[in-house]
Amino acid sequence: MPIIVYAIIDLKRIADISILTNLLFKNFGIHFDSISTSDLGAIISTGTPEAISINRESVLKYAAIIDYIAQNYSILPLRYGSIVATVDEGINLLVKNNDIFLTTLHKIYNKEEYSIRVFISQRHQDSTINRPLPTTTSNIPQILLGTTKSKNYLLKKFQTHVTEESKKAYFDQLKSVFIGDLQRLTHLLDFKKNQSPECIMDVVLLIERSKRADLVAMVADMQLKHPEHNIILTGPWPPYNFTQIKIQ
Amino acid sequence: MDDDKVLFYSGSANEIIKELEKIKQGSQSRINATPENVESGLAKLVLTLIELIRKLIEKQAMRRIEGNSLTDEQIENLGETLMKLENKMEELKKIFNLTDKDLNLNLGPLGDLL
Repeated sequence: MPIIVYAIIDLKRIADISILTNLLFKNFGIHFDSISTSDLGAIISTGTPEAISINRESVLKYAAIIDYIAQNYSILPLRYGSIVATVDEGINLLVKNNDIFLTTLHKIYNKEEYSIRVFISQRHQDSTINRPLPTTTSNIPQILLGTTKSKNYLLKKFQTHVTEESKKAYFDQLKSVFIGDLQRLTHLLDFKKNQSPECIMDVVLLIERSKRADLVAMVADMQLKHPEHNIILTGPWPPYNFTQIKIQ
Repeated sequence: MDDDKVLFYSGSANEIIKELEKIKQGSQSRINATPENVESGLAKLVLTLIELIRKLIEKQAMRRIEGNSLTDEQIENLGETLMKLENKMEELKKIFNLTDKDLNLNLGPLGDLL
């Protein structure tokens, strides 16, 4: 029967996996087991047809299990669908990837992942950023001055372009201020591409577990300095963004 | 998202929810071609790529205007070309029943194409 793999752990940091699997059983009512090599261990469960069926409920349950383990231990979280055919294959996976697993586990040891998203408020955007460019001759290239259809068309495009550029410059400047602040806590930052034009910054970061209160205080301070923007801090998340490994 | 995962938020809750909804929508805007809709699926893909190129050309044109490197005659030609290109895109969008919102591709972790 196939087995579901949830998380990889460094055995030097967690000596007794059974404590963890018992805790998981109490919380989730699933019988968990483990496989191990001399350095690494993996939390697994039997892949019954119900357990490996793809549906929203199993995805959420898998995520909740990973989240629970990550809140208590430093782990390399696997993604939903991490299934191997046999226990031997699972052990093979640990052996083949021993070095990269250990290096990554070392990187995330005693750390937690958080996400910060900064959005520009609609009010601020309307009043400041998206305000149309004043059409004075001083800020329009001479070549666009005229009354032909082409020039009128290009002038409108140019005004939109200047507004977009100034918005971008404003975002970049603000982002660099935020990055400067965050770098006082950690250099492990991973920037995501902004998913909407109102998003100034979308970043995930990895910090020491003990620095959680510092991070919350720092974000509150950022908000205080920039009340015109909306900031949302979430976490702690399992360190998915800092454990992306090409498994052999 | 679990409430206990939100450690801090400030500003307008409505705006934050609206922004998070946009992210959710973005992850759904993938090409979804089936035997029944393959024609419009392909049209969407091709027009999205053309729109990307059109926007790049437009950006490049703005840079050249900023750099004062165009003559009066070149400006007239450029304006006419970009206008025609934009009109043609509007025509094609109407033919395939697509809107500006449809012309995008979600590239997973890289975000949206446009």
